[in-house]
Amino acid sequence: MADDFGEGSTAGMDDYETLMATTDVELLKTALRNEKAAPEILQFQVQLVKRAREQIQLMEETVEEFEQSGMDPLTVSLYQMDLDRAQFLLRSYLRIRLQKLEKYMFYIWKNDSLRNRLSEPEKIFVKRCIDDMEKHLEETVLSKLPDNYQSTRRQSIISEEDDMVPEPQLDTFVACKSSNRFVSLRLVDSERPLEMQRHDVSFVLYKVIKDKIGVDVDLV
Amino acid sequence: MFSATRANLENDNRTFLLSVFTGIISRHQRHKIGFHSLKLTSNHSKSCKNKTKSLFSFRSLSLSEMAGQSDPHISLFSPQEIEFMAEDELVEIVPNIRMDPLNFISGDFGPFFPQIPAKVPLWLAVALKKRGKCTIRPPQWMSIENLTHVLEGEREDQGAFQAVPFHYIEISRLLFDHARDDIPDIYMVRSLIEDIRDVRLHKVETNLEKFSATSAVKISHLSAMEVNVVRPFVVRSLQAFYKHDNPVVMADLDSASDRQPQVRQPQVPRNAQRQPLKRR
Repeated sequence: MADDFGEGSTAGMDDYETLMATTDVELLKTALRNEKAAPEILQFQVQLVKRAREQIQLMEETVEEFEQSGMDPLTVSLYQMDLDRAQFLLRSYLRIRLQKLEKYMFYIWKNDSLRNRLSEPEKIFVKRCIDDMEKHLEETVLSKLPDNYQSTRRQSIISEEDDMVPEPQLDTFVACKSSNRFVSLRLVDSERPLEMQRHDVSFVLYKVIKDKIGVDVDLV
Repeated sequence: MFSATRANLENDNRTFLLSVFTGIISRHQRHKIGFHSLKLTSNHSKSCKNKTKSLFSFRSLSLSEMAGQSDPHISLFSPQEIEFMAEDELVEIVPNIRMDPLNFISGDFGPFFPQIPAKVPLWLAVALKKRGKCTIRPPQWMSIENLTHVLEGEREDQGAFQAVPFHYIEISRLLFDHARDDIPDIYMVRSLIEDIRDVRLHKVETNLEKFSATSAVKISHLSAMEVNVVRPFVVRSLQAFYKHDNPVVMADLDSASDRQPQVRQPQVPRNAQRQPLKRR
């Protein structure tokens, strides 16, 4: 009986998830979850965001048309709710990225591979953020300090590297689920690979699975 | 008045020492203790309570408290956000109106005919229900029979979790809030789900005590809300283990590209300790 219950519900969920995975809303939700749970900035989902934008715009026009054509207010309000939900997801996704960018702007900007993960507007944003932050620090504090201590990125002139740049903590653990029915991950320290079914949640070292995010696993 | 203030200060100091010792009480709590209570004994019991509470903040909690961790940055997702995610789960409704198909961004649903069941996302079901346009059919797993079975299973097997939907807490809560008249024996169902939740959380908690250094912890059938609740504790303890095992790596934080730090870990048989939470 318990088995019936378990199999029935997971099988049903699998079907449902594979069905729903085709919509961009579902993809956006996954992207948002991944972005939110990952300590560092992930690759910007150019195509997905573009498609979501187009669909949202199209739906905005449709809803407007519905309203003008005197369509049943209930139906219009339902369409509006769907639109609001999609917009909320898109905004949350963009917003969580902005938060990360603001927090780690110096770190992201100096690292080519990280910088390439940004969208063009995000690059402009970070550049301007950095300029503003530097100007602000310059004017309020740094200009009043002795010459050796005027860097925005280094404690003093004798520092060998940028030791005042906030960096994301990559030695952290994240919770993830398999994005397929089954996934086998080779972890460095154990001889046995970590095997995950759909219903398994694992807390794994971020560094070990970061390349698998969006491919084999999704963060939760 | 003066003496009271002094007692306050003294207490504050002592609680401070105590809290440094236990390293648990937050500054805010210290502040509160110092100002609101005068007896050291009560401070003692209070701080001890606080200690257990903050360590295992998921012990017998209401839904709203459950994911409402003290630090929003650590709990990651707010309960509302998780609920939002759960609202896309499909449920079956029985509409009492006729409506054309809805071609949403999130998928196509309908057409709807009176008394003909249809599958829609939970948010749509709730919206229609609120307007009195449908009844919601509670999902199969919410039957008393199934829930009783799950609860029994949870109690019997302390090492593993029963299969429940990933969003069982959110779904049941939404249905309790908005479709109470559609759930037969709602009180029974509700108390069963609450019991299941409590047993499961207690189980996570006791299993966390057996935690040890490892690079991965797998927990089968952990639900979305439960992940969010245990995350702060699990992540921080795993991090601490990792830090102690890899002093070299920690000193070298910049090497984000260094993909084999764990090779330097002492090879302790860890699989044995990973067992308790694994599904057998």
